[in-house]
Amino acid sequence: MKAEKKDLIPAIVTLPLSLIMAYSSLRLGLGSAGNPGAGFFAFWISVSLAFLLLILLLRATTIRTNNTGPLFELRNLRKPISLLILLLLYAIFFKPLGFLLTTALLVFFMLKAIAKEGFGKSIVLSLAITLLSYLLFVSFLGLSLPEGLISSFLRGS
Amino acid sequence: MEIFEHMVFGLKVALEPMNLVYCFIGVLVGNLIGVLPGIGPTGTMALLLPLTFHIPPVSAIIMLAGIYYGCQYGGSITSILVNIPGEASTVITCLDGYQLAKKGKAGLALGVSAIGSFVAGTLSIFGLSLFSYPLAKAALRFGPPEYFSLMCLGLVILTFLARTSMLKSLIMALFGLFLGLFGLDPYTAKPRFTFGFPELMDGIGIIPLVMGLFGIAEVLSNMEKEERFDIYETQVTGISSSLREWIRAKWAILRGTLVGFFTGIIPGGGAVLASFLSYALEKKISKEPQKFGTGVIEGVASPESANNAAAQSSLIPLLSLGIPPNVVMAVLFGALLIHGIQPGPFLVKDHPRVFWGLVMSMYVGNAMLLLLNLPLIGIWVKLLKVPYKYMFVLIILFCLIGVYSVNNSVFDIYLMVIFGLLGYLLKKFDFEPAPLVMAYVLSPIFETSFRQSLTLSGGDLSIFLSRPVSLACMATAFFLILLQVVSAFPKRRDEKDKAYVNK
Repeated sequence: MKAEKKDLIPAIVTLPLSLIMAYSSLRLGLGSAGNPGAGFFAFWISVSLAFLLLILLLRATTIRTNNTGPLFELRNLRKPISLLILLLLYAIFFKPLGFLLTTALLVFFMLKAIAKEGFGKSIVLSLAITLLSYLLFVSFLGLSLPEGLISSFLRGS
Repeated sequence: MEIFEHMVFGLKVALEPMNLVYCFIGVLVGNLIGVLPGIGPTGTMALLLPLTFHIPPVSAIIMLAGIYYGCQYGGSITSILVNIPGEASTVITCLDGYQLAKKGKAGLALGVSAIGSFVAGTLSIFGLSLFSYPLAKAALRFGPPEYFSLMCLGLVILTFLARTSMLKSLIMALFGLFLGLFGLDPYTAKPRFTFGFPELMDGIGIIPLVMGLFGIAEVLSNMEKEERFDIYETQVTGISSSLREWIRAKWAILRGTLVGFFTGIIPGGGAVLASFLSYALEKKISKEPQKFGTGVIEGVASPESANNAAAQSSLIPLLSLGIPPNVVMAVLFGALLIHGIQPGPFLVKDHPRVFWGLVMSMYVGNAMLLLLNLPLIGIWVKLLKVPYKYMFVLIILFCLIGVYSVNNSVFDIYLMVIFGLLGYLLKKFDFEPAPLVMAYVLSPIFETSFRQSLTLSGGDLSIFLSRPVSLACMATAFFLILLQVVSAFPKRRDEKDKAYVNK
């Protein structure tokens, strides 16, 4: 019988965070009960949060469970982790490279690396989806998206 | 008579060509989202929210509301034909709906579901028209202590009814309240928790938050699973057959409507709870309860009516009191704010076009859904065959472009990804994101009401207990928390005993 991981891990990780929140709120200034300051409400929220997390921690350590299976199966994590990395890279390169290039690359890698599509199909679909997105969001809806390299090049020529 | 005049005015607004078009788009998209597992109304509304910036507020809200109640119609199709619920509110429909399909009565099940939803929706909108206006007038007399206590009660009820433990839901709610405080203090304009990022001066935007927690997180979770399901390929006929079953369904539809209407109003209620409660009620009052789960028409009629009735009635607390009773309404709340409209008792007076136009548009939307559903079922089913590996690409793209277009800020993309990761981890550790979003949306009003109350009373907390409405709300909230604490004790003792035996 073990401690319930689904309670124990979040409690251990977020309890210090709630104390940091309370400290940050104190620094904003509590004011007085009749004239609450900027940190008043946040402070009491943080303190209440810390209290509940303590209860969660106590519950996790005192109530045992037969549920000993892993929370994360490594073989199932490849796709979510890959997607998160792709999204972060998209954000980093979105403005410098522009909407067209980053979107095409993102869609290509999502199809190739995550959906396991063939190389040719991924290229064709990524170009088609990027073009349709451009027509929908920029031409039709009039959204302003970063131009980047390709648009500048096309305008230059 | 006054209400009738307002309803006529609202109908004129709803029937304006642009509003008709956006109503149609909303219910069509909602129906589509309801059919497709993997994304729900909350994520969809968040996705489309940035695109509504360039259209009039009335049209935007009509469209977004259409997505919510449209989902209830669409979700039942997959529940009946595929045994996979398109939405959480149609989970219970799988039990009897799929069994009816296997018996060759798919048409009956789908027909009862669509017509039941239409009847329930229509009656619920009528109830909304009758209740919202007087409730809004009564709420004009509420002061800061009443608002604070009402919101406390709302959050406590929401956490009490949560799928996971109340303790975890309360933790989520407090965390959401804290997130809502980011930005400038409303009284002193002091930056709070901005960590030196100028983008956080206006606080955390609702769109990156909701898109991350419900859009990105859902995709990340779905990536871990292999999706394989068999579509029950059947000729959808026999919609009008078996008159006896239609007559039996009639009473189930009415009961489901009543259950759904009142469940939709309470915080934490909504379409999901309504569908479960109505099914439980039908089974309880049935002369043959053992037949539930084998293909009983009441098992489809009641929950399908209830979920649609709840979807409409959940607008009552949002529009009249400014308190969203569930996470979908919280997104709609955010949408109204973005369009410069404060939901609450002043909404009817200050923005009658929005209020009555929205209410009456739902009659129109329900009629559109009835026409969309029955003839187009074949098309909806074909869409199910689109593999998720293509759907997720489109969902991600919509999320990224949508969130960027709000402020033309890459920072929002980063925020969305962070909340996406958070939402994914919350699912893993059995935390529900709904209380977090609800509390986040209410946080500014929560804090303002609290601070104003303390300023009024000179710091005396008894102000929350000295006013009748406030006292009633606080007492109920306290009672619910106590109930949860007390009910946890025998469980803990049993678990300790089990642990001792297993040693």
